[in-house]
Amino acid sequence: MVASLGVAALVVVAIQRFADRGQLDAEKWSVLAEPAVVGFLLGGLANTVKAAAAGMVGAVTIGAVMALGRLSRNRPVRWLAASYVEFFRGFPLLLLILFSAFGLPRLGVDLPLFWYLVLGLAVYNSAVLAEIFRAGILSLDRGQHEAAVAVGLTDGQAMRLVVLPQALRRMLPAIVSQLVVLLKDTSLGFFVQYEELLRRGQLTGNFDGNILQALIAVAGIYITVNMALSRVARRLEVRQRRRYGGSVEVKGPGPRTSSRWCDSRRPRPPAWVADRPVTAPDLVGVRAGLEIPGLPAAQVAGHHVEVHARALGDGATAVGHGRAMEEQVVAFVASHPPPPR
Amino acid sequence: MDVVLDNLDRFVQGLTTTLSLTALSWVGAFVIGVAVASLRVGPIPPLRGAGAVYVEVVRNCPLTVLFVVFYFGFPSIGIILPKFASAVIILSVYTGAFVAETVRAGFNTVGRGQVEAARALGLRFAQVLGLVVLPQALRAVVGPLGSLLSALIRNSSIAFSISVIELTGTTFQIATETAEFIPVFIAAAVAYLLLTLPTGGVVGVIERRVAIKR
Repeated sequence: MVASLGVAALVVVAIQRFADRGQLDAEKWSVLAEPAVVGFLLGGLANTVKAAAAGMVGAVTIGAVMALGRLSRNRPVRWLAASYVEFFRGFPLLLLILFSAFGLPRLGVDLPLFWYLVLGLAVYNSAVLAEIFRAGILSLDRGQHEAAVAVGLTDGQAMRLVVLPQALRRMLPAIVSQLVVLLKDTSLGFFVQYEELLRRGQLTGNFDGNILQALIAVAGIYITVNMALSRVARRLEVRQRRRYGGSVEVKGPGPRTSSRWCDSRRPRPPAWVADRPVTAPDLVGVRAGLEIPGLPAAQVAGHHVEVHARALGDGATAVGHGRAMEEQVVAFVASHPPPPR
Repeated sequence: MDVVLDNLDRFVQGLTTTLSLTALSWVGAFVIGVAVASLRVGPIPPLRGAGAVYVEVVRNCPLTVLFVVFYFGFPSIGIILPKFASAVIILSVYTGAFVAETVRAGFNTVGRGQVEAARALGLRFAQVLGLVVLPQALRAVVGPLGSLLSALIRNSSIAFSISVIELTGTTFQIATETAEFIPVFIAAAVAYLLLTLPTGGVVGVIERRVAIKR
């Protein structure tokens, strides 16, 4: 109760503070609704989306190549791909973008500003995606590859025609989740004077003398877009599960949501964890150390699953790794076929 | 190579700033994270809601935007802090949201029976949480917390947006002064790897030490 009042008091004080300094004045906010300002900010959003889209295409392409490299039979190739991934994953993205935008021009590379930003984004995220792809390919039943080779395809054909299409489909939700991270990262374009959403928010705020309001609007746009994208990722999951089946609810200890377990005044919900069923792509994502939408780490952990952590981009809640974990859950999934529809 | 050796003291200075920024922010993030996770499992609905809103808002907002809002926007409402302190606050707030999610995941690994037993013994919510659940939950998430720590080391570079000259800032300054981009950036990469790789190793050791044998 005291803490509730504390939070309420905090909100009141904050509003008071805004009001006292005249930051709630109508004209400070109404400027943001003027067509010119709206157009300017939306243009910034468009630039952000453009950079993110181009970065994503590059990251997916390079990431796929690196994942295949890491799975190659050729030792030097494997080693090269592994060093690429490990090197760029441990590197702050900002340093990479600064190098790309300020270092490359001095080395005689001449590109529009946009492409320096895209290059930095693509290289860093390709290293993260390579790990996701690799986990996706490894998650596929070996029999797929063996059967493909048995009917006379070469290794390359088996990979291209049989394994990759299935692995990519499985990875789609994880790829969309990574897109959210990448979209957030485009705001680093701010450092190199690329006119993305944040930079334009600052420009319009400085121009109209409402820097705080403009920046809050920018933050609001980012939050809205990213929440929508996360929802798309979750929707993709559900659709995939419907189409391909093969999923079960993994039961574990704990209430429906973790929020109820200490509350004696409420009736206990039935013992469960799953907000939703756990699917093969989840396991892949978990293995790659991703945060899976709608799937707290504990759902997998609660299923007596060994969990190790790996460092990953942008502070994703990393809970991945360990063949033991995957095997156990795969065995569980196999022994609990989905109900017929 | 000479460029790096000539400027070694500046690199060390930058590295020290990165380290202190990371250490202070980590403490802040840990406190915020545990507090918010506790709010989210607590018995008071408005506080659960507040915790959820905090996590959703902060996680979906780019770190750079948080920095810029705080440092360039908040002076309008009279909040003006030194650069370094601002950086520590923002990094704590941002990382805190991720720590909260991780700790909450840890709560879920603690068996229901533990909570029921504790309540049956007559412990209150705070006691159940502090004496029974938290010690077990934290042990379960040492690994994921370690990943957050190395993400924080890398994220601290964004403090450059408000001119806190840490490792990335130093690297950029030296590189633009000397125009020797490749050796300077490689030195920075090595420095970051020297920070993040041992973090992983140490976390692994701690994880094994504190693991609960079941």
